[in-house]
Amino acid sequence: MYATLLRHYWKSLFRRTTWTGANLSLGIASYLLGAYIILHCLAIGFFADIIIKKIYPDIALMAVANQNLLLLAAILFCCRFFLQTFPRVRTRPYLHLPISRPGLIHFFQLLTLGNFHNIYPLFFALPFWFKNVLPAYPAGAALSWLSGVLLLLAGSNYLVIGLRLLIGHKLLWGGAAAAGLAGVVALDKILAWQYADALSGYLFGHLLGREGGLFLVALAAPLAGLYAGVFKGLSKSIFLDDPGRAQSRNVDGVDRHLAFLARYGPIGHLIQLEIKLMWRNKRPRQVLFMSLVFVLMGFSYLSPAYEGNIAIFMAPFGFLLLSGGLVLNYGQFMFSWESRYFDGTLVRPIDFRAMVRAKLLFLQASCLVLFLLTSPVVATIAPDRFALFAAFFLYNFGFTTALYLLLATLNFKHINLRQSSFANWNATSIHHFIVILPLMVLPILVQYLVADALLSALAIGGFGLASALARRLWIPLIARSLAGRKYRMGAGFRGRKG
Amino acid sequence: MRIAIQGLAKRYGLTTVLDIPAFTIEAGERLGLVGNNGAGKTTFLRLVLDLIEASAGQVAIDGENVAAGAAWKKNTGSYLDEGFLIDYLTPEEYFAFTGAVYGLTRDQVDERLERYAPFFNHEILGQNKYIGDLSQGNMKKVGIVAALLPEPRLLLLDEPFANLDPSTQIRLKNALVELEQGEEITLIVSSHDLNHVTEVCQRIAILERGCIVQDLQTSEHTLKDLQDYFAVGEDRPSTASPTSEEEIL
Repeated sequence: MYATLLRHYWKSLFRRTTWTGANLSLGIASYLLGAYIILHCLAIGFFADIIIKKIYPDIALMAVANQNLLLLAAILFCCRFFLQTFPRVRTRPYLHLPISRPGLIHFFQLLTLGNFHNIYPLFFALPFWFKNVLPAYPAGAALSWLSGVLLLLAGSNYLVIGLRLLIGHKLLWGGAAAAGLAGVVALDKILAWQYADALSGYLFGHLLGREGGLFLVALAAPLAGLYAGVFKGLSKSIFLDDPGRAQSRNVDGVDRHLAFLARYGPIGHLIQLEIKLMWRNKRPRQVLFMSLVFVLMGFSYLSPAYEGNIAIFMAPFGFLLLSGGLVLNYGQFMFSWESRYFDGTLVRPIDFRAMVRAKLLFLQASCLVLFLLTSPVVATIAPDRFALFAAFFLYNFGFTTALYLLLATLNFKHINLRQSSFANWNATSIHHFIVILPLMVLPILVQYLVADALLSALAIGGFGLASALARRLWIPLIARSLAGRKYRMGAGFRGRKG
Repeated sequence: MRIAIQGLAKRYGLTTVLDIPAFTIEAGERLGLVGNNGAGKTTFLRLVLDLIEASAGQVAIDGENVAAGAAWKKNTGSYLDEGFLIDYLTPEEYFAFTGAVYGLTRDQVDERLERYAPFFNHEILGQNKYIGDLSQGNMKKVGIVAALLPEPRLLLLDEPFANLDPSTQIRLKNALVELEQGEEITLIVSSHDLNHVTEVCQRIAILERGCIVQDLQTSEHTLKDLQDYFAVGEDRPSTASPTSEEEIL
C-alpha cells in the first residue's frame, strides 16, 4: 500500500505542471539553479578543509567545523522556513480508504525527509566527511558524526513543519521568529559569547569521541520529541475539511470606506472591486506587502556609491521601484487575479474599455500614492536627483502602467488567491521577470545620450506624460487585446488549454 | 429573446464535443437540456454565452451574433457555476455590484432582493459573511438571484436544482414556472433532475455525445419517456423513442 502511495507522490511531482513554453523555461531554469547550488555545495564540501585552514591556520580542522555546524544549521533553518513546502501528497483522498490513519501520517512525515532542503546540505557534508572525517577517525566515530549531521537536518525539517503547524502561514510571525533567531546568533557572535560555537563544538566533538553513541542518543531524543509533536499536530489537522477555510472570516469595513466610489457608476464599482480583491485575498495582499519591500529596496539603488555610468544603470531600477513597486509586482496579473470568476466577468454587460480604464486608474493611483510617500525621503537623501525621480514617476504613471496592463492580457494561467505568494511560482513565468529590462532601455538610453540631468529628466518625464495623455489610444488597444484573447484566458483560467 | 444556432460545433483537437447543425429557441420558450455527464450541456450553455470559442458556426441572440457583439448581455442573466461568483464579496456587495453593471439603482436592487427573501431563507443577507464562506447551496442561491436581478429576457441556468435543499428546489421551480407569466422570458435550463426539468420546461432537448438526439414538447408522458431513455439496460433503444410522433419536432 505504501509503495502505491509513494508512486502517487512520485506522479504528483512530475504531473504538477505542463512542461510547455514559458513554463518549460522556468522549469529548466529552476533545475539549472538546483544543479548550480549542488555543484557549489560539492565544491565547498570538497575544498572546505583548504578554506578552513586558510582562515584558521592555528586551529584543528574538525574543531572549527564542529563549532560552526549549529550556526550553519540555523542559517539553513531560516532559509527552509520560508522556502520549504509540504509534500504534495494530500492525505484527504486516502482518509476514507482502509489505510491506517496513523500509518498515513507517519508516511507523510517520513516523506518530508526527501525534501530538497534536506538533500542539498548532504552534497556539502558528504564530500567533507569522505575527505576529512572517515580517513582520520575510527569508522564508528565517523559514522556517529555523520549520523549527528543527519539528525540535525531531520530535526530542522520537523521543527519547520512543527512551527508551520503552530503559526499557520502567518509570515509575520515566521519573520519575527527568524529575526529573533538571527538576533540571538548575531549577539552570540558580536558579543563574543560564542555559546553556540561552544555547544556545537561540544556536541559534535564528542560524537567523534568514545561517548559518540551516548551523544547520538542525546541528539536523537529531541528529534523523537519533535517527530511526536508533529505527528500530534498533523493528526489534528488532517481531519479538518480544509485548513484554509475551516473558519469563516470576519467581514472587514472596506466597503464602508470605499462607498464614495459607488457614486462614479460602474467604473467606481470596478475600482472598488480591485481594492477589495487586493485587500481580502491572501496572495494579492502578500504581493502588496512585498511590493512595499521592493519600494524600500528602491532607495538602495540611489546610494552615492553608484557614480557616473553605473548610476545611469542603477538609478532607473530604484526610480522604477519607488513609484512603480506595485505596478511591477502586481500589474502583470491584473486579469489573472480575476481568474476565479472570469466567466462571470465575461457574461456581465461590462464594456472591456471600462474594465481596462478601472484597472489603469487603480495602477496609476498606486504610482501617485507611492510617489507622494517616497518623495520626502528622496528629497532628503538625494535632492539633486529629485527631478529624475519625478520624471520616473510620470514614466511609471503614464507608460509602465499601460504597458503592464497590456502584458496582463498575455497571462492565461489560473491564480489561486488563497495560496501564499511566498515561493509560489503558480502562474509566474520567466517573462514576468525579464519584462523590466525593456522598460529600462529608454530611460537608460536617454540618460546616456543626454548629458544634462535636467534635460534627460524632462525627456523621460515628457515621454511618461505623453503616454498618460495617450490614454485614449492605450485603453482601446488593451481592450482589443483582451477581447482577442478572452477565450484563451477563459480556458486557461478554467484550467484548460484551448 | 430568440436564439438561433447555425452549424455550431466545438472541437478539442480531434474530439468533437458539440455538433448542432441547426436549432432555434423562440422568444419566451422554456428549454430544458438533459443528458448524461459529458453530453455537452455546459458546452452548449458556454457557447450561447460566448464563454468559449466555437470551432464552427454561430449563436445569434435576437439576430446578433454573440461572438461579434455584446448588446445581448444587457438582457441576459446566467449562472452556470461558482466561476460566476466573486467569492470575496458579501452577498450584499455582490448584488450591489451586479445591479450597478446592469444599470440598476441601489433602491431597485434592494426592492428586487426583497422579493427573494423566502428563497434566501434568512441564510444569505445580513449574515456578515463572504460568499466564499457560504455553503454550496447558499452560494448557488446567490448566483441564481444575481442572474434574476436584472430581470433578464434570457435566462440560462446550469444544474440549478443541484445542491439546493428540497424547499428551495420547490421555490426555485415555482419561480421559474412563474417567469413566463410576466414578460416574455426565454429560459434555458440544463439539469439532471428529470422531474423538475419536465415541470419547468415546455420543451426538452436530449443531448448525447454533443448532438441533440431528441427534441420533445413536454407532455404528461415526457417524464416517463425520459426515464426510459436514461434507464440503463439492454432494451434502451426500444424504450427511447417518444410515445407519440407529434412530440418529435
